[in-house]
Amino acid sequence: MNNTCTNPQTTIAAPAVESRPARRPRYQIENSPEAHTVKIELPGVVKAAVQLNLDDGILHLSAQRANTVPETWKPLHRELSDIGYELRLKLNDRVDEAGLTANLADGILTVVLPVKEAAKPRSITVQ
Amino acid sequence: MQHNGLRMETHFGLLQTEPKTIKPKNTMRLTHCQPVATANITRHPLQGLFRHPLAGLPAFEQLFDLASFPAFNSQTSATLAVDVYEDEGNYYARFEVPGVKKEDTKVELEARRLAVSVSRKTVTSESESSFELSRTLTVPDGIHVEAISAKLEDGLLTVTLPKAETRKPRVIELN
Repeated sequence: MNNTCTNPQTTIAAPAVESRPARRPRYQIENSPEAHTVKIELPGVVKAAVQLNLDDGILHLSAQRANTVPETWKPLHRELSDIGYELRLKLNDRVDEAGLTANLADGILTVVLPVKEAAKPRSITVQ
Repeated sequence: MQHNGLRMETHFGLLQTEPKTIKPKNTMRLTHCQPVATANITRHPLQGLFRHPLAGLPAFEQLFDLASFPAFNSQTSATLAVDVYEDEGNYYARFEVPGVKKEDTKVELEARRLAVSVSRKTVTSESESSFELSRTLTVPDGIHVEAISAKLEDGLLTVTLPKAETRKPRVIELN
């Protein structure tokens, strides 16, 4: 936590509307020479409820769970939480921010962060 | 339950000072804590008189066994979390299954046990990971078994268990 606070970038990027309770979703990152793929588990979240912001190298995800249960449903037993999700990822310089894409399917948000052409590994031919 | 617990505490305290004191019946919790002490205890002939009027009845305990109440008795050892809802016509069991495909979802009903199991396999260039989760619920009586349905949407699996006609609330006319 201390590390995060001393990092000026992270502090600036924190939005003012932070009062809502949120939890950090589970996510997985896959790396390949072309792109970093982040798969974030967001069960119960619809596309319209996902907010994805990129600000100063920080990818900020905030997703509210849609209250999909009709009012007539009376809860008998609850184990799942209605709390929304919040995740902040600091992108490194290699990421091509303009080429970022995101797709939500089956409760998983897949964010593809392409690697900049200049940062891709290449082989140099010796003359 | 609370009442019983209180009584045990009292006797437990007495045990420490006078080993020959009365041991109330049905003090399962006490014997668990102090297995050695129970060997020396003699039963007082009048003990039965001081027992809680309902203490010996097994039905009393069952009445307040919340696990079997109200409608669903769930196995807590499983890992798939569930929400259970009810409305006038149906029971609903909802599971969180992010990334699980329809073909990897299995919903089975045998006798009164609803077994839900899901699996997910993630293959990347570097690694391969998979999980399998399952949960068994005991469904209440009066379910229209043929009409049970399941829906997978936005990473949520909802199993709808329609109540049989006899179970639905109805108004009884007075003559």
